Amino acid sequence: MADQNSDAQYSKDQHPIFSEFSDFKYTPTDPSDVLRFDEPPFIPHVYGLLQAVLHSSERSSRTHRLATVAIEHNQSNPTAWLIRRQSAETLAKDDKSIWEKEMAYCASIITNSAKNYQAWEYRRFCATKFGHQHEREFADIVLAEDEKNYHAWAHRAWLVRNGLRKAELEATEWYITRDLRNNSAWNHRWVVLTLTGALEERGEEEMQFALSQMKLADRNEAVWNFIQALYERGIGCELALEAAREAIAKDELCLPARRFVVWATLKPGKEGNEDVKKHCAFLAEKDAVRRKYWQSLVGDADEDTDEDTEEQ
Amino acid sequence: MASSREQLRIDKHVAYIVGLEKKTKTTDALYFTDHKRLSGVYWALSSLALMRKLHVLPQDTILDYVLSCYHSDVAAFSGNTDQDPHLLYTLSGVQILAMYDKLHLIDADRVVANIAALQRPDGSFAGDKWGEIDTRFTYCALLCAAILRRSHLLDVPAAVRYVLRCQNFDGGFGCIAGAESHAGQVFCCVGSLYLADAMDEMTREDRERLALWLCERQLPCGGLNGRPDKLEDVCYSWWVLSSLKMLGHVDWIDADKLIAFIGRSEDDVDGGFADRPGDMSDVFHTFFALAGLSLLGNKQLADIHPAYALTTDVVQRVTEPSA
Repeated sequence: MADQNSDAQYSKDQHPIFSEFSDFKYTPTDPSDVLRFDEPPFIPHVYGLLQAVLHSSERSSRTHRLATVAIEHNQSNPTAWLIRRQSAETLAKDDKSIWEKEMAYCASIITNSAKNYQAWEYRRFCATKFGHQHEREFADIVLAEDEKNYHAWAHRAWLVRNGLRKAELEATEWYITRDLRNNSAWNHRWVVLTLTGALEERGEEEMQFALSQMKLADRNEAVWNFIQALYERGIGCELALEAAREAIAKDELCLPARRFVVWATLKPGKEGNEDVKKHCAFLAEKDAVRRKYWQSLVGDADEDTDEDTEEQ
Repeated sequence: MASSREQLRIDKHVAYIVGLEKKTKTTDALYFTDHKRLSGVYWALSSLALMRKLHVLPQDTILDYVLSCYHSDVAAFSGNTDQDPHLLYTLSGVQILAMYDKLHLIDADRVVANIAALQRPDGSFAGDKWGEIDTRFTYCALLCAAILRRSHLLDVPAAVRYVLRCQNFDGGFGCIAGAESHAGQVFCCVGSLYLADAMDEMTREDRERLALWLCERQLPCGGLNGRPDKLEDVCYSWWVLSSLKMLGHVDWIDADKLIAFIGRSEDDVDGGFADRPGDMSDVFHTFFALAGLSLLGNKQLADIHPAYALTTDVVQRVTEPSA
């Protein structure tokens, strides 16, 4: 985005975009008196022109440039992005290379503002025209700056849903081994496993992978959530319970392991509720911010026992 | 910074909100500039309403501005006078009009018909003709329709099915199917299910796993984060707490420690709340701090409804049986 102080030197006549639209009638927007903020003096003209273009049938190289000016000022302006997309579609009828340029444009916006919803959305739109072949690498570039960037992982999920699944499981392993607590990577691993059918193929091997990562950092919430999900699918259940008990024996303050044992064994018939009560009492003391939760579970455990008894 | 046991500086916070009108190029402006200004107005007015001071800003001037963002040709609101309509801002506009009891100023049938046109066959909602899909927009759609008493114009069962597709293996919800669980998106999805009267579409086990995931957002400092291994932020005092409220489990977190964290984020000199202690105040976090404190029963504040994000007196008015 252009620096606002340098923008302030412009007036309507000084910004070059207006000379391109001398044949276009428009009304500058009228800044509200409510919650009014300073903005460069040419911006009401840009927005007024943008509205006039929106309601016209013209989509051309100059409307494309106008969108660029508007996006420079506000990278989240949906109208500017819409006009940019429509202009690019028009230009692409004669020159398909526009999509490569648009991809580069998106990249420039996202690398400066990686949480921009509109730029990511437009990137996906352009990728449907230009091709997805560079999208994994692009996501990797963004993730190199922030390995938990929500938009980049959502972009990867979109790619997986659109069939780009090759080596993606390995990619998640790479991210997980770099940062064991990267919840985004663990979530994406689950998405890949379930969408590709690899979960059934890997079965207990997947639980072994998760447990191996857990043992490197056994208080990691992300991996325990993953282990729990595998457990609920009936995958490697005994392995998981054994590993959890080992983790607790090694470190009594391994609270996520205790949480897992409670969750896995709370259901009637899985394990004696005395064990659940013992863990909940420990958690209520050591995981004090959630004390009431752990105490409520003990009540649940008792209720479950009663129900179980009645059913019998 | 104020401690948890001290009274909220209502006068300071009111002065802070009123003073926003005159500020330029400040941190606050980040939340008010251009495309999302109408939401900024909603956050400001909601903060005042929670402090029972909605009257301190001129209603007529505010309404003139809000209606200047209303596009009667498509019956929808934009984020500012010079922007195009978007569902995010249609919700802000409708919420503001509900606060002032001025919903008759818009064409409710057409507003909801326009929202219905944004629903996709899979039940999801686009935010506008741009076409982005996000569970935030599902919440906006269902809440607008609820406030305007026209939920029947939407395909609510399809919306519920889409939301449930976005539930993850850890119990949380993401912005689209497969996207990582995030407390803000959880609020939108739980809120959608609540408004659709479909909380029971989640199994008891799923609801409780979700509630535990939400509880796990509380860190030893008392503050809440939005996803595992991320920093605490005052805004999650609303996203997490309101979700827990709808799930019936607000008591599962440590309220005293959260109140103390929010208190440490309060600017008791110039008013307002920051994202975390030591940072500058802004209107976004001021609203979410006050909303969180309201859910925790602060008696200086009006009660807020966890799904409508409006004070309960307004919700009662818009949901009471028609005469």
